[in-house]
Amino acid sequence: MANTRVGTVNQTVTTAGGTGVVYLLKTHLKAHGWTVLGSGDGLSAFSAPGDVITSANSGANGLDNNRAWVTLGDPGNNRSFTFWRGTTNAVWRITTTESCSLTGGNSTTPLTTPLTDGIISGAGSLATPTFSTAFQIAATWRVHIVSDTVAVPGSNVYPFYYLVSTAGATASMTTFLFDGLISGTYSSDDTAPWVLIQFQTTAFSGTSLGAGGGSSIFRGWLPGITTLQNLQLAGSGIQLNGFGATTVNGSYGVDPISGLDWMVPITATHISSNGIKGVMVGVKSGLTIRLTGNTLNLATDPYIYWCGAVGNACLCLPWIDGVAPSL
Amino acid sequence: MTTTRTGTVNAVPATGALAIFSVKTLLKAAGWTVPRSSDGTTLNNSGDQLTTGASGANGLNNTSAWFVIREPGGRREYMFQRGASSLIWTIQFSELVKFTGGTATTSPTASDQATLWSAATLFDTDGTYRFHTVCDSVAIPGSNVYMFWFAAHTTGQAVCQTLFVADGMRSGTYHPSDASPLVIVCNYGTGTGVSSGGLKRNHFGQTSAVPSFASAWMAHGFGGSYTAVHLSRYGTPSVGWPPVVGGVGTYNDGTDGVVEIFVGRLISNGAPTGPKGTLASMRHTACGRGYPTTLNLAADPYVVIGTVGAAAETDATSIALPWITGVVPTL
Repeated sequence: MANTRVGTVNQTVTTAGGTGVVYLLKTHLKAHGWTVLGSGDGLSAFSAPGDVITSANSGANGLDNNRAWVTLGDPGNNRSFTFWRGTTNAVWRITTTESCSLTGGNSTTPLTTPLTDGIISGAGSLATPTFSTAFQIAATWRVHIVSDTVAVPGSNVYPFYYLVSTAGATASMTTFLFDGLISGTYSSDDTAPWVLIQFQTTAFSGTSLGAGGGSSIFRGWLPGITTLQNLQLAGSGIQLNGFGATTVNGSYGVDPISGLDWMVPITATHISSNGIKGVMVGVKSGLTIRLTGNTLNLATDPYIYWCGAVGNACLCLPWIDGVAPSL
Repeated sequence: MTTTRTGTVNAVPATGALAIFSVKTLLKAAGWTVPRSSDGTTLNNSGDQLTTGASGANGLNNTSAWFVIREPGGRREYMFQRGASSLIWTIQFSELVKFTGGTATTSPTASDQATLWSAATLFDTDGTYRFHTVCDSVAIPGSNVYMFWFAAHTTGQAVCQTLFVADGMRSGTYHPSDASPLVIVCNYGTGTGVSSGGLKRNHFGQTSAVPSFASAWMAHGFGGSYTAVHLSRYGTPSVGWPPVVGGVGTYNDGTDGVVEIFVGRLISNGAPTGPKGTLASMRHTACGRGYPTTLNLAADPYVVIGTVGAAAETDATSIALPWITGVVPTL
């Protein structure tokens, strides 16, 4: 996948906060095959389809206005994501739907899907929306955006992610990971073979993978269920001592022969006996304790470590060949 | 792999010696050789003199009788020795050096031998269990490991008491210089009740002090050693219940899911530590199945080994092993 992976990484966002990140995401995805299905600046500018957002600032054609929004459709016209700003650049209503045939909308209200919106951040409806904290208070942030320009083999999913950390810090912060599933690991009737990981604090760590039973940070559709479901994820997911003990992702150390790091696939399941969702394609679980910004195989098909508090296990995310991450 | 898989299944051997003898018979038919053996009275240092699983001359059911059996590829050897009764066995393994020496009553040794089971009860009361043994006559693709396993269940119940699995690692999941991509599982759980007997969660699980009843070479040829290793269980601390193993139900399309088992040794357990790889044959099921459930019986099937029951049995429930196409396992 490395040759089809593109990134806008090592970016700095300061006062624009979450608006700056979403603007970078829009710019990146537009440049790599995604389309802007609609947008509004929260004031008077509106287009559907079309992109009226020309900056991360406030004012005309800016994204940093109350109720400004942008909807991005994937390169295969399979699904879309809407980012709708609230009263500050930290609070957003973020949704996804399995359609790119959206209608309606105006400068302050996004488009309507013929299907169901999966609410990732916020609540309510287009008519009565609620906006929730999706980013921290603006500061000097390091931002990385990575996407694949081709779909995951055997599916119609185009993975992408954005990562935000405090500049100079080794703890992950705002994280939005949209990843496909390995062919053959998900139900034959699953038309949405993807999993989303979304959180915005530094509390997450690789050990949280096994702790997602009631959490909304792991999401996905399940066939026949019309609301976006919470999932739980298992990395190497190894428990000790029977019930309820500690997972040990990150507790193996390096390969005893090569001295190199390992990572293992992450399996997503539903918590209410609705079965396995599938095995994630890109996001993996690290078996060695590292710091955010460390890399694996930097020259070819690399991964970046994305870690919470020091000493905890990490996620490993596909990265851009040869580009050293900066903190 | 099904065309190269054979088994002797659904048997009710009268003794543990007959059970182990059936393992030897199966493996020999699949290309394994017996370079030395003893019936407890007479030593044969050049071949297999054990012609029956009974007691007496040339029988395996004699105190201290033993045999060494070698993989078709010639690399590894396993040594089985009967103890004071047919329930009691010692099982050892040599990765490379080979077993030599030995007497009529003393098993041979190898400088790299690892003891998998040491003069302890391996079987329940004679004649009370269903016995299965399965093997592949070709090595696991990309490796030099010949998979085989045997298991015993209380007759008429879904209780697994005896389990021995020699499984390789799936190609691409272990270090290419690892010349021993093999993991061996060996354990016995006493008792016969569905809720309390047989192998349980903690038999299949691991403790921080003693990783598990699974063992493997870590870094063979690179200064490593044969040691206990962990089998992944895909656990969830917050809900106290494995999210994958046994508890998540079928895929939405109604089929059962299986999950590969990752193997490694934790830093907390002491050197040699690190990842080992992913098992090629043994799996976790995701659906709370119990013996004698099968998956894909018509082609490349698996049999669920463990017990359906309370949480304590869940891990045992989760273990699935390669099975014989079209053969229905019986209680």
